[in-house]
Amino acid sequence: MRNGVKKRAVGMALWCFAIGASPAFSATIEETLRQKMRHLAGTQSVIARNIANADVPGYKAMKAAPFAEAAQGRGRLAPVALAATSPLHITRGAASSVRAEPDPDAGPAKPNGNNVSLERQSLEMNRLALQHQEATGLSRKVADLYRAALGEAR
Amino acid sequence: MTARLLYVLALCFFFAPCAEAGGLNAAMRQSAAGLKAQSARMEVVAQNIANVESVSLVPGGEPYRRKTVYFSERYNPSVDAPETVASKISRDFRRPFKARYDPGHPGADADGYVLYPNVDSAVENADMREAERSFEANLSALQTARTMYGRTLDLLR
Repeated sequence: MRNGVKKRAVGMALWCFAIGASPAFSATIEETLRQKMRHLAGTQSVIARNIANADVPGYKAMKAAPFAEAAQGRGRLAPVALAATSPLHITRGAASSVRAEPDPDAGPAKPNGNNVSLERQSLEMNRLALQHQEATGLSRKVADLYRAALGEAR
Repeated sequence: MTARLLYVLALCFFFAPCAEAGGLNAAMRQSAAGLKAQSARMEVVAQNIANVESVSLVPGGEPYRRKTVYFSERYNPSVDAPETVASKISRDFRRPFKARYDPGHPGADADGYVLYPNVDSAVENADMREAERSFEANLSALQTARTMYGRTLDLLR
């Protein structure tokens, strides 16, 4: 019983420390992970678009801007929202949070002008899925840190 | 009890934005549009193959003309994003009809020839394979997006 109280007290102390240090902590770990996951989701939508358009004549493969650029806040589209003054207006903002540009190393185009290579896209997609797994794993570890601070360590 | 509550609150506060996953929804929509376009193509191929022997019963009349499908990327205002669509189904006016000598046929012309559709089963087969491959590629993109979504949701568990 006493041990439990002690544990809880230590947990609360750690928790207070985490809150006190949170500007530095959250800016580094959570914010980066959040950006990374958002960037991966955006990249997946670029790849999905490429694959969906693999048979569209004249379509050129697109490539998502690298994460380094997005993390510095340059690559992200400004979240412009349309003004909605009537319930009939379309209110959706920018669809993707990642800037896409034509892929310079997409390879030669087919006779119909399309240069999407399914092999290349699925390779990219697998790499992306692994990175996402990594990011979610790290996020889980961060959550475990909080859990430990609250005295519920597993 | 309070600790548990605090823990859940902290989780929601720090990780809720990860679960919004707007990009993943967009990715799944793109893949779904691709699947739909490819299945439209499969449908056209199936129609062509089914009509490989469809001839006219009127003397000298035109038989079934092979259908072709056109893909394009169109802006979909309801989701504010471009989507792949099978935009147009047209007929093949380039490939000539095949003529077969069959004077007894009700569709035979004055010289006894019946026009048969310009469907080439080798071409249709190749088209079908291609549609199948593209369908599979879209499906695997959809599965990847789904797995990513699932992992993001698992963070909240």
